[in-house]
Amino acid sequence: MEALRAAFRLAQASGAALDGSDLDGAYSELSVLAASGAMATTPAEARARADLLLLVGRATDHAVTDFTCAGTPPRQAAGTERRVIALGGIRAGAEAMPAPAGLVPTLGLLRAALASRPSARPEHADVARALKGARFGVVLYDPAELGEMGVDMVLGLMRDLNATTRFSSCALVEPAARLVVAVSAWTLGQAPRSGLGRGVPEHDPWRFNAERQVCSGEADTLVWVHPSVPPPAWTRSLPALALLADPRGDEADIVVAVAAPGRDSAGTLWDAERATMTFRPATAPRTDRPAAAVILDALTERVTMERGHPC
Amino acid sequence: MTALTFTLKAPPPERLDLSSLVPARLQRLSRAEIERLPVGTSRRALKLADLFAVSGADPVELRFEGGSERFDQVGAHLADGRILVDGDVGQRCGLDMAGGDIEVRGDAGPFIGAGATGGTLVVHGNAAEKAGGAVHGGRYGLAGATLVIRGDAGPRAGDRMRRGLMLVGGATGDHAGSRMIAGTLIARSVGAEPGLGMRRGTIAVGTHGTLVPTFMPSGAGDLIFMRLLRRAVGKHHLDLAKMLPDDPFRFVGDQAALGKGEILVCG
Repeated sequence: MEALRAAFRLAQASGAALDGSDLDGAYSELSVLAASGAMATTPAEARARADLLLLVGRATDHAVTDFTCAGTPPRQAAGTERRVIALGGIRAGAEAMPAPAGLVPTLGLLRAALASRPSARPEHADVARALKGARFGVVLYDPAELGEMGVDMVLGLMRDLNATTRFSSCALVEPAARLVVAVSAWTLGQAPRSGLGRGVPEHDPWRFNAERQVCSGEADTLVWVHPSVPPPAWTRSLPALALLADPRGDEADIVVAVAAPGRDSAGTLWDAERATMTFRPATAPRTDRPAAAVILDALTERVTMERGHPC
Repeated sequence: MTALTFTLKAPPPERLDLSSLVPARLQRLSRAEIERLPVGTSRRALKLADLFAVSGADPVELRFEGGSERFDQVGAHLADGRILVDGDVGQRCGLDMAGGDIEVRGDAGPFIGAGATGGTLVVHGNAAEKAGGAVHGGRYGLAGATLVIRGDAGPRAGDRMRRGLMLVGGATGDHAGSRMIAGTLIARSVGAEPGLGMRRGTIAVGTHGTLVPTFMPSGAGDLIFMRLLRRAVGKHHLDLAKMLPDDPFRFVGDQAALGKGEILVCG
């Protein structure tokens, strides 16, 4: 979190654009949320209360799903048995619901079955009944797998079900992406993929998509701040600085080895199970590497001095 | 009076925000004030005169001599008058426009006609993704205007379209008419899964890719509506009008959503 805050300070000082390193999944969710809203919950709530879990696609095989499905739900509605259904995937202990037409069309068929529309398939009747009969159901899905149209279908299913029962969704988004969205929201009042070129934050997910900006030649320099993930190949076409915890040294024009938060130094990270920020002490403390925030703040100071006005 | 003309001096070094260049605003400004309008989007703070030579006098008719895929928001919020671009435009051309005419003699970037409630947009070349589709956080795509694309359109053409007429002389990418709320989208051909999540509205096509299973065939029939549609389309695109028969084959859907939309197959 401190590295992100420092990156935002540097962007404000230099008039840069800000993007997350892996926001495609988060944006599939955010774009539908911005257009039509969402019923959403956390893995911890789903683990504690859900009497029905619908796992979509590769959510069947995800660490957060393991956490959600584990144990007996302590606050599940009285008199209910937990049922787990795996749509388009296989998971031990879950009922398999095949999706030969594809995940998104099958979700559509499920919505048609719930509304008793003519295109409903008889093989989906049992699952549709189970969804309607749940006291608190949760759908777990990976928005990067489903894309914006798939997320729209999942959240449409939530709207349909909430007419008569309590149902929620839980998107399995990369923790680093969740963290950057939170920091951006409290710093700029907007999601990342924002620009500060005109002195005020402008949010435009198409215009400030970093990969698009680099590949189109609109960007002239790149600063990569993700200690545990090296910059992708598309960053090699322009001068770049990468702050990495375990660098090889050839990931960018300038590579600085920094402390890995939660390993080399204490740090505030995203807790995917509770869906919140959490403090992590260093598991293997070392003091020979600077925090990424220190490097970024030194750059901000230099940029501010050269532009001739204070921070 | 000759059209107020902006002649591009050199390719723009950054994306430009040209939303201020609409008759309602320019009518109140002197030539010097127009030349000082900010159009840059970076800390360079570029002014209009840094990039364009200004000539002509009629602020109700605007002309861009030369275009660029970095020309963003051309004609955004246009209420009346006419804008002609002799070249390409970038994203959000005609965003939220309520009236007037925009003609692009090149290609258009994403989101052309998003939220446009009135007026006419014509693109002689191709349009990128979400032509007539909604921008991030926008309620609607095309919302009453007429959008004519003579070439091809990218994926998700007409996404969340609310009202109006959208014509594509060539092919669209996948998911044309996705999440359509109402309105009419006509294309020579569309890619896979047209109308995914559509609630109401009409998509008429020559050929189409795979349909999602929540569209149901409802047969062919003689529809009086097609004669009216042909007449309306013929005012903007004769070839597409000729594609429309009296008795197209009809699919209804998307039954995943409200299910009151239709795909008319005219091939």
